[in-house]
This record gives sequence, C-alpha cells and structure tokens, in this order.
Amino acid sequence: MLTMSALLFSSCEKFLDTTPKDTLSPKGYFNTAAEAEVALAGVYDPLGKNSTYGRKLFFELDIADDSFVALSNWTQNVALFNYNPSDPDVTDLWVALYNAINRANVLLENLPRVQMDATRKKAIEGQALFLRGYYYFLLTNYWGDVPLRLSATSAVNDVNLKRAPYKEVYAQIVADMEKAAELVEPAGTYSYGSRVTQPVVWGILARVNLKMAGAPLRDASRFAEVVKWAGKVIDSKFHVLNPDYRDVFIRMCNGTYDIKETIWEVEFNRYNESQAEEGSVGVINGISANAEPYGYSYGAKHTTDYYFRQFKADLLTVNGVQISHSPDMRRDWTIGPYFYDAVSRDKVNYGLTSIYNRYDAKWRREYEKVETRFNGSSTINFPLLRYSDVLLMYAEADNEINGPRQEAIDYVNLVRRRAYGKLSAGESIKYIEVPANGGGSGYTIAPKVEIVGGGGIGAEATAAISGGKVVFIMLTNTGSGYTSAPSVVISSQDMGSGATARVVLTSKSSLVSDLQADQISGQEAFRQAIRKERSLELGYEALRRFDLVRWGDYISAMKNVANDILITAPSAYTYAARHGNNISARDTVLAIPSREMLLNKDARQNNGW
Amino acid sequence: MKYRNLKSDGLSVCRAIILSMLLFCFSVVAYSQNRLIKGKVSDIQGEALVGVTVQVRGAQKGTATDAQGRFQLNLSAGQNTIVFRYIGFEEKLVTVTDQETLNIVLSESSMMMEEAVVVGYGTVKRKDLTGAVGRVSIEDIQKAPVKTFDEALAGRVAGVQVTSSEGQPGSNINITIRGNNSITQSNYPLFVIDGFPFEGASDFPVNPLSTIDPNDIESIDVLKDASATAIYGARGANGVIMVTTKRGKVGKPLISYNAYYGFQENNKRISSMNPYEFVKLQFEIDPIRTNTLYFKNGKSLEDYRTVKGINWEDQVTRVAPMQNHYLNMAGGTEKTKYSASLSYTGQDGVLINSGFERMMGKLVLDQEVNDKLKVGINSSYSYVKNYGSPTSTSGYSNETNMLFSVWAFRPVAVDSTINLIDSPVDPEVEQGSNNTFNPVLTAQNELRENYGNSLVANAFAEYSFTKALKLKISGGINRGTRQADLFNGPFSRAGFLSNNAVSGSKTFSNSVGWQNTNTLNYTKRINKNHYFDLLGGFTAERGESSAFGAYAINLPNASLGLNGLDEGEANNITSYSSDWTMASFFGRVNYKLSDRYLFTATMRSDGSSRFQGKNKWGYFPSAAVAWQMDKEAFMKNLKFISTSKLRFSWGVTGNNAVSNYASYSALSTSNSDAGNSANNNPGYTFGGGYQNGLISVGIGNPDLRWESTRQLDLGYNLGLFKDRLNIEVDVYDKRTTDLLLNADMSPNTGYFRSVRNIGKVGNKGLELSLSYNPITRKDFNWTSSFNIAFNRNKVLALSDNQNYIVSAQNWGQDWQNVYGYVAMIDQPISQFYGLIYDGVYQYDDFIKVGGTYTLKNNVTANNASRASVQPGDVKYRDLNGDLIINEDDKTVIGNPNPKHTGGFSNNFTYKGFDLGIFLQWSYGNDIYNANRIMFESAYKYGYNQYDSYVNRWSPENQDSDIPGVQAIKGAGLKAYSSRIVEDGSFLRLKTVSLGYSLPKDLLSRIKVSSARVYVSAQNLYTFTGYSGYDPEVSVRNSALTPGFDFSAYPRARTITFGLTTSF
Repeated sequence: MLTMSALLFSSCEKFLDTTPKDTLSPKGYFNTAAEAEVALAGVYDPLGKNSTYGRKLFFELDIADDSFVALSNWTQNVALFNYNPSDPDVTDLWVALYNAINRANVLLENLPRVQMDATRKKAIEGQALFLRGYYYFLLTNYWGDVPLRLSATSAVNDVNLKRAPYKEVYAQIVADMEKAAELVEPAGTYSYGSRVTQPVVWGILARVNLKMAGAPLRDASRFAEVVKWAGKVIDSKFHVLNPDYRDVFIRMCNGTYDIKETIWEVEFNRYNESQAEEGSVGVINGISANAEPYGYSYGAKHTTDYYFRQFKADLLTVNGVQISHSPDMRRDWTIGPYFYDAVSRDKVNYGLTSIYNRYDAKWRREYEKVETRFNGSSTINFPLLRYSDVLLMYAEADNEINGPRQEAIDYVNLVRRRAYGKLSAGESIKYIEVPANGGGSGYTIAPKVEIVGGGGIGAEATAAISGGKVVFIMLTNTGSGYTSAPSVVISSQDMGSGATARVVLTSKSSLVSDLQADQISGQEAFRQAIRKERSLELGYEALRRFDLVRWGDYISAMKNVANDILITAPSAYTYAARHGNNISARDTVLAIPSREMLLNKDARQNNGW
Repeated sequence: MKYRNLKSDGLSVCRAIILSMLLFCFSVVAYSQNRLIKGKVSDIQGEALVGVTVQVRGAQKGTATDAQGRFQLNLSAGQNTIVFRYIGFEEKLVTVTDQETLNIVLSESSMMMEEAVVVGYGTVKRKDLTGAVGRVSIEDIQKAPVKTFDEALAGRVAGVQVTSSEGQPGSNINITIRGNNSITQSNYPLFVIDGFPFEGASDFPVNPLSTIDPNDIESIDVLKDASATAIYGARGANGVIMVTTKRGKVGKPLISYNAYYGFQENNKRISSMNPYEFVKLQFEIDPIRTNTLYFKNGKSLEDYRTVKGINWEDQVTRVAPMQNHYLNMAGGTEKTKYSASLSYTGQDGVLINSGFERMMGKLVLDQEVNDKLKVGINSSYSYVKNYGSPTSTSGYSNETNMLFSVWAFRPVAVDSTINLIDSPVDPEVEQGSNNTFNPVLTAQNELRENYGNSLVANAFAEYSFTKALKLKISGGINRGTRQADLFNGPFSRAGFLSNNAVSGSKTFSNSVGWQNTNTLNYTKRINKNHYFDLLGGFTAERGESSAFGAYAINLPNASLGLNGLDEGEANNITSYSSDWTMASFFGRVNYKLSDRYLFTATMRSDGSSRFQGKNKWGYFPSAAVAWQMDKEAFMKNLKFISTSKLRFSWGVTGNNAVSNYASYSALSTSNSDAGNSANNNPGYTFGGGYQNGLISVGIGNPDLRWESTRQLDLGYNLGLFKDRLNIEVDVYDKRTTDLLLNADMSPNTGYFRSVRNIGKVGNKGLELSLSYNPITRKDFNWTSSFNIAFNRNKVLALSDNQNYIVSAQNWGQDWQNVYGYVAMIDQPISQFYGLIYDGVYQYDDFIKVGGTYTLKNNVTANNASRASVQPGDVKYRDLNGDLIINEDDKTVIGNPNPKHTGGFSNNFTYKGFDLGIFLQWSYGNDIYNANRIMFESAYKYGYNQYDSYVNRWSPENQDSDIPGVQAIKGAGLKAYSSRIVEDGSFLRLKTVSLGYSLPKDLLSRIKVSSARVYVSAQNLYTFTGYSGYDPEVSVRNSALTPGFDFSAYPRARTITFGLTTSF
C-alpha cells in the first residue's frame, strides 16, 4: 500500500500541474517588439476613459467660472462641490490613474528583456516614462500629496503607502519627463497627434513647470524652465498655428489631424463597424441635439454670462434686431451662438438675453464623420496640448522673469491675430441684412438660405419670417475666405417669394487684434492680459480650473462668478450659482477617495474632509 | 400516506446489497426440515413488506419475504420462536404453536435510530454514528410543491441555514451549515450526489441540484461535524450534504405516477402613490416644472383626484401555474435490480414572462455478477430551462432594475391621449435624467433564457475477496452544457435606448468532469468485544469548464429574434476555458469496543492544482469517540431510556474555493478583474487604428494555500419510551484560519482585489432537535419534530492588524463606494454599517431670518454645506459631536445574522387522511430595505414613490419622521442609515399538505395498488414585521453583504392539487 501511495504521489504532481489558459503570465511575455507595443497601448488607454478625458476631466472636474452644469436636477455631485469622499467620479479618476501608473511600471520593468530594435525600444521607454509622469501630474493637480509608486506593485500585501509631498511628486514628474525627452521620437514621426513625441514632452514639461511655479509649490525658479521647454517647441519651427481657429476643432471632430497646431490629443475612434473606443466629447457637452441629423448631444455644459462678456464684442442693430458681433471668432465657436430647432432641425440663433442657454460648442457633432453616430458617445478627439498654449505659456513665464518683452508680446499677438482671422486670407461675414421692402411676401414657413460666391466658403444662415415676410437673416456660421460680398439665395419652401438679402463682410485690416499699450505697460498688466488670453483661447479644454488653481484664484473666481450669475441670470438659470455657492477653501483639491482611505492605512485625508 | 412496500424509507444501495447477501446465505442453509410454516408479512396499512428477515430464534436458519410479502420457513423440532426483522420497523417475536400459516403485521419503529446513514464512502447505522449527521425527512420534503429539494430544505435540519436570495424560479439558494467560515469565498456546502462530490454546485453551468426531481430522492443526510466531513478534506469545511437517489429493489415491477398542478401568486402588494398624491408630490418638489407639465390648460391638483392611475404592479404580476409529472418503474430480482424514472416540471413565475422548466430521465441498474462481484450503473439526463429578466442584478444604475420602473413609473399621463402602458418611455418627461422604462414591455421584449443539459453517469464494481475484504472501484462523468440566450427586442430598454439597438447574444457554457474513487474496506470482529471497520482509498478528479459566446448589435430584423444574429454587427466574442485537478488519499478507522465504545479516526490528504509548490498538498485529520451509555448496566434499569449516547469529535477540514488560477499573476488584453471598470477595453487608438492593449489584471499570490477549519463537537442523543421521543443536542466550536479572502486592494496599487490568506473566523453554536411520536394508533398517528439552531459568528483576526473590513453593495454606480457593511474583530463577519437616523430637522433647529432658515450654530449639519440644510431634511446622529456628519459618524446599525433559526413539523394520519404542517422561522436578523432609499425619500423629480411617503414631513405634518421633499436638495451625506434597517424575523407557515389515500379494496378493483390525492401549499402565510415583499431576501448575496433587499423578485405562494399512485 505504501509503495503504491508513493508511486501515486509522484505521478500526482504532474497531474496537479495546471496553468492558466485564459491569461498570460508576465514571465512568458515581453519577448517581442509587438508584445511591448501592446503593453504600451495599455499605458495610453487610461487617457481615453470616461473617468478621464472621455468625460470627467473636461466636464465634472473642470468646473470653473466659464461654464456650469446645466442639469438642474443634479443634487449632489463633485461638480457641485457637495460630494462625499465616496463619490464615484472622484474614486474612478483616482483608480484609473493608479491603474495607469501600474501599467507603466509593469512595462518599464519588463522592457529591458524585450529583444527588439534599440531605437524603437528607447521610444517605448520614453513614452511609458512620460505617461507615468503625466498621470502623476494629473494626480497631484487634483489631490496634492499622493502616494508615489515607481515600481510595479509586487505583492498582495503591498497596500499601504504614505502620500508623498507634492514637492517630491513634482520632482519625480520632471525627472521622468526630462528623461523621456531624450528617448522619444522627434516631431513629425507620426502623421497623427495621439503619440507622445518630443514636442509633446517639451510642451507638457512647460506646463508642469508652470504649475510648479504657481500654487501650491510657488517655486518661481521654475519659470525659467517653462521658457526653456516652451522655447524648444517654438524653436523647433515644426509647429504653426492653424490659420482658422475653428478648423482646429473641426478636425478633432472629423478625424483629420493637424499635428502642427494640435501637438497632442486623446484619440477616440470606432475601430470597426461596432466596436467603440469612444468618449463623450461633443456628447455630454456640445450643442444639445436629438439624434438626427446632427448626432445626439446632452448639451449639459452651458456658458456663463461672465465668460461671454470676456470676448470683445460690438453691438449692432440689423433689421431692428440687436445682435452682438464679436471680431474674435473664438467666442462664437467656443460658445455656441445657435441651437437646433427641435422640429425643423434648423440652426436658430439665440437672442442676446439667452446667454445662459448657450452651450460649450467647441466640438460639434455635425462635423463628426462616422456614420450612425452613437447616442451616448462620439469619435471626437480631445486636445491635450495645442501650439497656442505653448506660445501663451512661454509668454506667461517670460513675463514673470523679465516683464513684458517683445518676443513674448509677439507670441500673444500671434494667438490673437489668428483669433481675429488675420492669419487667413479673405473676410468672414459680419452680418446679413434684409433691405427695406426686401422681405418678399407669402412666406408661411421659413425659406432656406444659401450663401454663394464671393470666393469664400462655410457661411450658413437661417431666415426668420413674420407676417409672410422674411424679416431677419440669422448668421450661424460666418464662413471664411470671402474676397467680395457673396450673394444670398433664398429658396422658398412654400408660396412665398421675393425676399432678398445682402451680406456685409468683416474688414479685417481695420480690426485691431494686438494687445493695447495699457495691456503691456508693465508686468502686472501683461500678466492679466495673458491670463485672460488663456481663458479666451483655451476655453473648455480642461485647463481653466488648472490655471485658476495655480494662480491661487480658484475659490475667489468661483465666488465672483456665483454673484455675477445671481445678477445676470434669468430666474430659470440662477441654479448655475450652485457651484460657486457650495465651493469652499478645501476645494482646490479633491477629497482622497474613501476606498483609498479605508484600504491604505498610511493614507491621510485632505483638509476639510 | 405510509406505503411501506418497495419504496419504504430508505434502503440504500449498500443495505440492499447486504440484504441480498444475507438472503443468499440463508437460502443455502435452509434444507433440513421438520415442518413448514407459511405466511405473509405486512405493515399496519396492510401493505406487503418485501425482504423482511424471518429467522428462527437461536438458530442460523432463516429466510426473507418475497415480493408479495410471503415466506416459507422450515422449523426443526423444538424450534418455536420466529423473529421478524425489517429495517425501520419494530422487531417482532412470534411463538408458533401448531398453526401452519402466520399473518404478521409489523409496526414501524417510532424513530429512525436503526436506519443507515450515508456518510463519506460508506454508510453507518445511526446508532453507531460518532459524528453529527442530520437526516432530512424525505417524505416531508416530497410533500412540498417545489421543483428542487433545496427550496424545501430550510428549517428541516438544525444548523442548516437555507436562504433563497429572492423569489424568482431558479434564483440562487444559499445554504450554510453551522455559519459562515469564509468571508469572501464560497460557504456553500459540498454536495455528494450518489457518492460523487460536486463542489460549488450552484456555480455549475447546470446546477446538479436542479436536475433532480424531489420524487427521485431516497435520502438526504447532512454531515455537520469534522468527524463526518474530514473524509472530504479540502472541501469539507462548509459541511457536506449527501444526496442519494432511488435505486431498484427486489420485487415485482412497481409503476408509480405522481403529479400535481397548482397556482402561484404574489400575495403581497407594495403600492405606489395614486395620481393625486403623485402630482402633489411633484408640485412640492418642483412647482415650476409641475405647473408647466401637470397644471397646463387650466388643470389643477384637484383634477387628479378622480383620475384612475395605472397600477404597474398589477400589470407585471400574474397568477402562474405550476405542474409536475413523475413516472417511475422499479423492481428487480435478487440479482438484478432496476429503476427508471421520467419527470417533467413546469413553473411559471409570478412576474410575466419568467419561469422554469425541467425534463429528466434516469436509469439505475444493479447487477450481481457472481457472489464476489457486483456492478451497478446510474445515469441521468436532464434538460433545465429558466427564463425571465432578473429583477435585481442591474449594476450600472439601480434605476434600471425592473421593479424600480414598476414602482417609479408615473401612474398617470397629463395628456389623456397617451397610453402609458404602451409607451416604452414616458413621452412627457425629460429623458436625460429619467431612467424608468415601461416594465411590461421590458418583460415582454427582453429574452433571458438559459437552457441547460446535464448528463451524469456513474458506475461501480465491488469485489469481495472475502466476506471481510472488499474493493470498490467507481467512476463517474458529468457533463453540463448551458445555452444562455439574450435578446433585446425593439421595445426593450436596451433595444429602444442604447446605441446597440436591437441586439442579442448566445453563450454556451460547458463543464466536463470525471472522478475515480477506489476504496478498500476491511471489517473484522475479533471476539465479542472488538469490531473494526477499516477503509482506505484514493481518488482522482478533474474538472474543466469553458464558454463561448457571440454578441451582435444593430440587428436589422427584430422579428427573426436570435436567428437574425448573423445579420447584425458582430460586437463581442466570449471565449474562455479553465480546468482543475485534484488527487486525494484517505483512510478511516471505525473501532467498536464492547459494543458500546465507538471510535472513529479519519485522515485525508488532498492535492489541488489551484495552489503552487508546497502549498498544493493539505492534510485533514479527524477523530471522534462515542459512548452508548444505554448499553451500560447502570442504564439498563432505566427502562424508559431507550437510547443514550454521548459523542465528541475533533477534526480539521479545508476550503479551496478560489478560482482555478487565483494564485497566478495574469496579463490580459481584456478585463477579467471583475469590478474594476478602469480595465475595460484596455486598448488605444493611434492614427485611427486600434491597438489592443495588454494589462496586468491580477497580481497573483503564489503563497496561496488552503483555508482550514478546526471543529470541536460535543453531542448527546437521548431516546425515551422506545425512541418515541428523541432528543439530539450538539454544541460545536469552529475556528477557521488562513481565511481565503478576495481582499480589496488599496487603489494606489493599481489592482482591485486579490485573493489572500487572511485572518481567522470563529463559529460557535448549539443545535437541538426533538422528535416525538405522541400518538400511534392503528387509525391515528401523530409525529412531530422540532429543531432550533443558534450560531454565533465572529471575526477573530484580519490581515495587517486591520480592525475591520468594510464592504459596499454594488447596486448602482453611485453606491459602489458607499460602504454599508463592516466586518469587525470580535463581531460577526457582516454587520450593517452606516449612520444612525435621527428623524428630520425641525423648525426649532433653525434661526429664521426673513424667509430663510439658517441652521443654529450648535446643531449638527448633515453634510459639509451647512447653508443647504433646511427643515424636513434627513437628520443623522453626530457621534463625535463635531457638528458635521461625515464618515466618522458611521457605526454598526444592524445585524443581518439571525439569533436562531429552525423548523417545526407535524404530521397526522387519520384513517386514509394525512395532514402535514411545517413551520419555519428565522429570528433576530435585520434587513436593509434599500427600496426605501429610493421610494420613501422624494428621490428625484418625476419618479413615483411608495404610498407610505404620503406621510412625509411637511410644514403641515411636522410629526412625521420621514424626510420631506426638501431632502433631495439638501444632499446629506450619502450613506445607509438605520432608517432603512428593518427587523427581518419571520415565522412562515411554509408547507401544508392534506391528503387522502383511497381505500385498498376500491383500488384493487381497478388494479391500482395505491393512490393518494392531496392539496398542498407552499409559503402559505408569513408572520413578519418586514415591510418589503418577503423577509427571506438577500439579493447580490455574499457572506459580507447579506440581507439586502432591492427590487427583489417577489416570493410566490403556491397551492397545488396532486395525485400519487402506484400500480
């Protein structure tokens, strides 16, 4: 019996050896270049989650003075600053970022043994290092001190980790990114903007240093680093501004790339007929729409009157209607001037009293290219670094070191000139007027309006009728490139006839786009001018809260805008002041999620929680 | 009711074999004759008894009754006393004078002390048991109109706690024996069906329990203490339930046909508000929106008083039929025995479009090849189908669970031309924030069907080298396949609202397993005082599971259903496989000294593929001793004591209930780290091309090892008045160490959970069973049994010097980080954790300035924003006095563990009538009625509420402690509170059965040997203070998160009319 047992035992050992069939083992992986690339995709992946740039980072977690959550029935949310530490948005962002960091750590630890081309291997290492730094950057921006994990979690009981002081976190971010700058590929290696290449690392290093120079670290010596890194991007001469501000975002919608302007973007796509790697860009924000024909949008992010007023505007009266014309085309692109009529699907302009109705319209699904636009998600990309941001960062840092210098002023003016259309040829339409007695007669439904000729493209307009006549033409897209006034073709949809209209073009040469003397008269004046310019140029790009916090202005700005809302908003929109009413000193950072607090014994909560 | 012929109470396989051997021996020696006695043996009802041992007292000679109950016996001169023995019946001595025929009536032994109990790899006489083994009364179970026996198990055996998570046909039934040992891993007992273990039976593609018709069961024995369970080693820690199905018996072919047909209904209603109350509430929440919607065109609130609203609950519930048909043919000769059954069970659910169906066929054949070799085969095939949308499992948003829409959907539309019953979504409400979806259309347009096929075949060969030494080799295979069909029609929630439009999937899951067991058994009696029974064995097992499924969306032709899957866009392919192996050696020694001192020792070593290296093998010993005091001289004088036995046992058992590869770290391109949505679709797009991503989804734990449970048991059996009254008491103490815990990882690790050996848990308890036979008369019989069990469960240690673990119930994304349960040291594994509800803020908590109420400085605010707190808001108790309610104010607010559970069964027979009444209870457990979080809170604008919310706080109703409508704006700390903790104690009139057996003489004329008609009811009435549908509820159940009620499928009351016959 004993012998038999012994025999059985030895054959048992083999019988009892099974290995996982459905997953791979780290020991058996990381052999080939392809395997390393797959692991690298896993490190990029968290950029495009619902909890990050898929939605939360530009919606719930970028609440600032330029917008509000227009879902009045929300009662408790991180966006309203009355959330709990167990809030899913707060938890999910934390979880996603640490997940990402562990993925980067696993790749970085295993990469050395991969047999592959050395250059490509360096590039992979650089991207992973940079991304780890970028995830830590987001973590410290949102939470301050955070646990700093620089190697893959190795054991199941390795769960307790103290929060490292933010100073230490920044030092690590800079070290990772500076090393990455040496490793990643140069600009132009790819025809698209979702890969991390040198200008991405340089530009983000500028942003990191800018943050370090501001709150909470306030290390002024970092401004020189901003100038250095932003300067590298500029001096590379690879990047230029897209002459048309609007086209920057249209390209994100339709999936063409502008790697000269948009240095780095999060890429969303539908990778076959039905499999989606999609985000909520243009879906949770954007112009509210039912599915057809533009693609569904909640339009849940509206502008504030305060932000609308920041843009230069002229009041005009056209056909008896007062309109606000902004020579700065960023206004009517960032803040949507129109909505889609629920019945006719026409674009209809908002009146001057309906500022709070206006949407964050930077990304419009009408430009999205995929067929069958999903209701809950889109393929629209989200920008992480644009060239204009680099120019403005350079100017901001240079001014902090040297006061206003011509080079910095030129960079700001370059951004402004583009905004005023001065980098592109031709004119846009300023307004369309119906001549006296030109309204025709017999219109019972609004005729279609087309704008043709004049050498330009893109202008769109909708007619408004009253008493059988066309009384007003609403300009919903000012177009570009017109060298002479185009003609307005009014096509009747019923028995109406006889309406005519004429176009008045802008006259760009007479516009003053550059900063005025008083704006560059001293360091403080120029500082304020740059700060304002960042808001105008980079609105709704998940940077406003970041900027306000590093300038130390976040809480006061939110309180101010809450007061402004109570004065300027119609009663139906006074709830927009909730954000500012609820915010308090603790809210420059988020609460450490309950899950971390309960499971990491060494974690400490942020103040005020 | 008692038909004691061929299908008497439990001739198990082994006893049948022993009996036939005896018969064989006796027939050989019965040759010398003096005179012949003939006769017939029957029971009290006159039924012939087959196989009764008929023996001449003091002599070896004897015989057994044949299939008609007849016998012949030759008596030598001077022999005049004949002994009749039959298992389960009182022994009878008859003195023969000069008669030639004897008609003997045997009466049943009052209790079952003589019956054989099925234990691991053998059987043992009940009186020789050294361990704690409970027997389920099969007759009682078979009276309950249930489709599977586990539904009728609750309250039958002391210490076996059975809770079904909700009332849906086929929903999970949670069984724990002597408390939870494990915190996150399975506490489900090991089921041994006809000798073959099924670990985690409820996780099989086709649950083996659901493939058995209760009519087909011969016996169910529950092994509770370590002495009994340690022979199952690594899988014995949660207790073992031995299920033995019927085999053929010697006798003429007997055909039985049993059938019932009945109805189920949900007899409890939870009403939502009527149109008037609903509109009034809407107005209070948001007058502006309500004015524009409900009060347009001059309508006022009063106009809604007369409107008849839709009762959605009535729309989705029904009276549902249930039926069962069971046909069996069994019989055999001494050499060959057979049993064949065919069964059909159909049960519709009380919610529309849900139900259960089963068809089963089974064949058992036993053959004695020669006097050394016996072989047998047992095979069964089952088809099991259950269908219907689960009502409580939707996780992303709790608002998408079906009953949410039943209760929350508006009772009335403003525009009278709108028929809400036909509208998928409410056409008058803003869709972005309203998640209700027509529940009737949901039920009608969502297909959720599972079809399972299960094939089980096992066989044995037993070879007797000598009378004492036997080798038994057995082997079995089981194969289960399940097809899960899912289809979202055009008017289902997903089909109507989601990007995927009409979509569907088919998923096939397979499991294949084989087992081989070889045992050598040696029994020896050395003179009168020493008896040995030695068993040694080896088993090897392997299990494999796999799944494949395909999901397609945007199906163009919905009318084709799943047949049109190929026309849609392929979306998601599931492919998966997994395997495990186990090899074990075991041995058992039973030693009986002087017929009164019993000793049992067992040892098992298990090797499992789930662990690595030296952790693969585990060793599980046990020892037990029992003392049959009634055999001692000092007890012999106490005539009223018929049984007195003291037992003590000690042993160690294990639990290896982790996933097959839990100890390995894992990289994957898809998320297998359940619960961590950050890992979904881990790829990225570069330049429009999608690149798969590979991520680390499991950290792996190579040090993982068995969880082991040490158990002590002290038991005492007392039988009085010839065992008419039996009392069994057991106390036990279990301690589980190296707990397998699927522990939450802190998020900074980048992992969600990992399985670790952590901490200790203790369970202590007392079990008491009484059975009594107060009246036994020829035409009136009353038997009664009662059991009660007390278990105290305690966490003794956790990892990393943790003092507690908190757990969340993931019943919606917004609740997944709200921890509502806590496991604390020296406290039960799970307790409710949250805030103490202190009513609502009243006016005197505020200072009124103008029209605004500002909270007084010394009054605690319910969240960080003091200014938002208003009269009528939720008020919580500020435990630390810091004037703000936050996580620090959470405490234990309830205990979901019952203080005691039990059952009380009474059976009466009077002439042809029989009546069975079974009561079951649970006392002292709390329930989270999470429905009230949503439906007694003015949860959101546009949603209806329970009609109990009419009595909410308002300036006119300040005495109410239900928060007013302001509470939805006040946004107190999101937490569970004592407001929704309810006492879940109940006493249930669980089974009542009234039958009438038709008279024999009447039946014999139509060639029917027996027939009984009956009416039977299940869940007839429940005494409880619980306000939800049913207090037996635990949706999304786990050891850490029990007693949770949200959108639970209601439990049906069943009444059936049935017939049992045999020919």
